[in-house]
Amino acid sequence: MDDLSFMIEKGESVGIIGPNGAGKSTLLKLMVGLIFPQEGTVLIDSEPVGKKNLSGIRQKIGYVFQDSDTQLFMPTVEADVGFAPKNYGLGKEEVKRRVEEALVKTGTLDLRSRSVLELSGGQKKLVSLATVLSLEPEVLLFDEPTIALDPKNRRRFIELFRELSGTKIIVSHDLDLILDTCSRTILLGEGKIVCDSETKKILYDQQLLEENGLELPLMIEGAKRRKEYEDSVH
Amino acid sequence: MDKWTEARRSLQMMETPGEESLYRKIHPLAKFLTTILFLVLVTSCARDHLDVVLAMGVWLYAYALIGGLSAGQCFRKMWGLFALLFFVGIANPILDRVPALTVGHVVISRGMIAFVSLFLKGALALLSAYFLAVTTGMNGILSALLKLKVPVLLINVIYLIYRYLGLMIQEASDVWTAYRLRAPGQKGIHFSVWGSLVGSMMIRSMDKAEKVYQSMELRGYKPEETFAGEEKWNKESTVYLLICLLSLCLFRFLPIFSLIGSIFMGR
Repeated sequence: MDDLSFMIEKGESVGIIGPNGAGKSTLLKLMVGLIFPQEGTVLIDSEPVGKKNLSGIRQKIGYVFQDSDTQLFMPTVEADVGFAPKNYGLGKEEVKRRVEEALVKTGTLDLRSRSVLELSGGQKKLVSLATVLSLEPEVLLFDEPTIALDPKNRRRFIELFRELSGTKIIVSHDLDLILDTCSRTILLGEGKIVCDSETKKILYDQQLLEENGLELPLMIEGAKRRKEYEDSVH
Repeated sequence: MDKWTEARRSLQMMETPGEESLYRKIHPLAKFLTTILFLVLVTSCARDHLDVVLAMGVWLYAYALIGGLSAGQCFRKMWGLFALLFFVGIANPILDRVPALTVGHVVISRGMIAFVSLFLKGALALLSAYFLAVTTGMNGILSALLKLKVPVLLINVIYLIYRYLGLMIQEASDVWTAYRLRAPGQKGIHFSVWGSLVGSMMIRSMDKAEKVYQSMELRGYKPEETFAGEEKWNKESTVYLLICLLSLCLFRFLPIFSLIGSIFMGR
């Protein structure tokens, strides 16, 4: 990554797109301090992300992994969702309240005593989100959140995403998801910002997308084809 | 449920220590200390003192019985280890044929006694570790270690090995399925691909392990806090520890069987 500079306002929903190897996931890892920049700084709430304040930063930022199997490592859903609040030294009652609230928010309360091995892909994704929500973070980062989700679960996830408050950042190849959920999009290419603008402006620009190894979102492509068909019929 | 899932579940039993056991209210440190003492006392038995080893076995049986623990379950889950124990002392009856005692017309050699004693000592050690695992759980054991001032680094290593074992099982299951689907009709894995399969499994496990560790880190994992433990030392734990210490020493250092025999024989 090189010469990358941008600012995200509180409460914004931002999509980060780009071809494979553009540096999208690296960018997320930089934000939570899983890796550190060789030059420059990442500021969260005007505070530079560094080894000394990692604990505080990570309390503010929730990171939902691409692969739920690596995010869920405790035996039961309840234990997994309670893992972070417990580690941050919250009291028993507070942990219980947060776990319940996160499970209710994600609609997974009925799974609380289930083993994570028994969950379907969609359930795992929702529980992964709950494990992050239990810390009540101000910023949520999602790495390819709709990967391996069936249409119904994908829709459910989008609805849930819209209900969530706070700043949300999604890294995804699912451009329809970005179009559906984010007001702003950052297009990355070879570790640099190619374009940072309103989502529709980027995702409706076929030439820009194709130049950067992407394609129009399916819903736009579909609408275009439908119009072509209707024009040819009339 | 396939064998891989079953293996992962068996591993996970350490996360959910038996609620039904009588020992659930006992502080992890008390259970940990008892197990360590038991292990020391059992392993310190001389190999020809079969009666002492048997007495320790009786103690463990009583412990399991009182606590509602099942030794059968342990045998079912860890039969492979018990089978391995069988081979540990197998050379003894072959190499040491000096007669030690005669039962009826059967002469029992010193080597045979040593073999049985070694097997029993190993089996008892395994059983006691299993009972500790099912009654205390991994978090409890680690919190006991933390209280005993074991270095955090070591606790971290134990916990991560435990976590990664589950991942290894998962990866092994995936690799095995992928192999099986492309090698129909084969029994087991052909030796020519062992190297590459194990290699790819290791690399995949390491990659996944790194991600899991990152996930733990992001959710504030710090051994000192994660295993600080909420359980407080209670009266039951003190009583439990005292009874266990006393009874263990009695079984180990007094000739229990001779005493019982003399009571019944009236001598």
